[in-house]
Amino acid sequence: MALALGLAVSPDLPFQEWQPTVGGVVAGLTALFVVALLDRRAPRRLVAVGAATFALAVAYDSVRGEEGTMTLAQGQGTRTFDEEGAGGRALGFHPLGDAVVLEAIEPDGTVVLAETDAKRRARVSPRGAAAVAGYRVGAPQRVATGGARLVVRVSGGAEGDVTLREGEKGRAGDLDITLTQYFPDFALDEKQQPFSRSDEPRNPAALLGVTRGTASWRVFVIRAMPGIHRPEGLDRTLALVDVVADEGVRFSVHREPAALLAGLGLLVAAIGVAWSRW
Amino acid sequence: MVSGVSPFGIAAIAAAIGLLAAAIVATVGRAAARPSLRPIARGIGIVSTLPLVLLAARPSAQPLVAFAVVAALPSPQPLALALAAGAAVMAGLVPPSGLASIALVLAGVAAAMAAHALGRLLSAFLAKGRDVAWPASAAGAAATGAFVALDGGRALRWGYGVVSGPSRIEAPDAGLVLGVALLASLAGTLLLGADALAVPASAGGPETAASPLARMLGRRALLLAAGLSLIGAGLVFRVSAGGDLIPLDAARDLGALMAAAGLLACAVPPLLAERASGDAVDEDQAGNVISRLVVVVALVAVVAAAAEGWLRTGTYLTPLTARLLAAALVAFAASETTHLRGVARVLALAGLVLAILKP
Repeated sequence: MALALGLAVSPDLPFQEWQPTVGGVVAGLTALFVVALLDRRAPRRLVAVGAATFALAVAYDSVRGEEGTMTLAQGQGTRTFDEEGAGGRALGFHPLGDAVVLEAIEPDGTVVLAETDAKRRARVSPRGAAAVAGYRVGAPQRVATGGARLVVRVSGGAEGDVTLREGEKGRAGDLDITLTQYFPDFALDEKQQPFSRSDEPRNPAALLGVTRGTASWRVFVIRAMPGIHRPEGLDRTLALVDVVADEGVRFSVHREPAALLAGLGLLVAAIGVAWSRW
Repeated sequence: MVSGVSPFGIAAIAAAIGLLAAAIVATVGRAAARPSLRPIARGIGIVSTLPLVLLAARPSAQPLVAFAVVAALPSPQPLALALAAGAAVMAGLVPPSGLASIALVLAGVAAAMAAHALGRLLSAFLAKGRDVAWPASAAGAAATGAFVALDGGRALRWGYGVVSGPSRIEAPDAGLVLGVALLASLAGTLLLGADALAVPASAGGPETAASPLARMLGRRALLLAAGLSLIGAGLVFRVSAGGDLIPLDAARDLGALMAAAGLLACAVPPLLAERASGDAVDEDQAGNVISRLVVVVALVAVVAAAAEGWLRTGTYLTPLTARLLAAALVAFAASETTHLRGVARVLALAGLVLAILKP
């Protein structure tokens, strides 16, 4: 029974991928394992109590615990995180216990988070998680957030540069330019519709709204091919010359109320095995 | 000196060769019923682990050093010493990065003890006068598996290569040697396995053989595979030591080759033994006690992994916790069962080794 249980819970064997009901099988085997041990001498009963405690703690955390991720740029705050269910399934936003702001990112990768209501700070690093807003927050990783500041250059007459974020409007030379849509990793789908393959600025491109007086144009710019699109009537060349990607930090967020109980169960089981007749 | 190898790496290779020698002396001592060789093997083993203490400050090497030290210290057990040789090579060559982990060190200790428990089971098997071709064939099968796993199974296509940064360096000479080693090991495994199957169960014993020719060829094939494994390790080392650091995959391959060479070399002397030696009951009892210890240490490792996960990433349900828990459960089965004890002990050892090696 223990052998089957050990093989079923191993993350290196693909039982859970082959058969989604393996969780139920594990629960059943655990129950049988505990019952089989309860039938024996005192040390075995101790092992059974420890195994049952651990199994119940894990089951409780699976049902009532919460886990997910939270991505913040420097200075940005949030009151929610992206909750994930079994197998990484997205469950939507889940409220945190407090507003959390990313205050600073230190050179060694340590991140300072502030809880605004409680007025306390916590340091999260790859070596250490911290309790923040009622959750364990850890594993900070730098990631591209998908947002960016784009530098657009106008040439061929009144020249100038303008730096824009998506939705922002600016002026370069004699043109008013609006950044309508940004594609960090531009590609075309089967229907020749533009989309972004990822949030990484690997092949940045943008759709611009350009106006001069009463005339207006829609201009497509792509960094890999400057000046590729010149709409009729527009006597200027527009080029996407630089992209400053917004970087954020992604954290793992967990709440496991039964963690202590799980550890206790394991220790009791270990004591039970050690106490057994040698 | 080769550019990619530090003095620590050289010391670890020397330690591995010493542990390999200790494994061979220990197995010859058992097979020839010469107890005087046991303290010699033990002394070689202990002296060989001394250079590894220098590596104890490296977080990535700590579990492997723990494995090698615990495998060498208690008693000269050929299986544990052969695997310790592989661990020693890896300890000296793995990139010196990562976070220190008490859970992994405990897993290393538990894995070494699991190797001792399995070795005791084999000793008991041989002391009962059972057919020695079975464990020899099993050792050959394990070595064949290791050869097949090298570089994603490229030895099957007579190839070997090392990925170093963005480029891949091909080593056709290593591929050729490893391919021949695989064939020799497979041939030895099949010949000895077939011969053991052909012997009636009642006639088991070191001196019995259905076909002396098959047994001789199988023995020589295993010996050839052991030698080729060492030559292959040298060629792999030469091709992978060209950069600043030996890649992790190459370090793992070198460890596997060293362990395979040890297993194959230790499989041969019992085949030459004229009679069974040792006390089966003693070996069985010692194996049971060590098995129980493996469970306790593995469970403590699970607790440590859970605590480390909670402190570092915020959750106790990390892949390492799950891996160690699975290994602890299998080790528990191995300490309780009487029917599938051998299989369970092999699986427990494999689970614990996997927990150490998986990133």
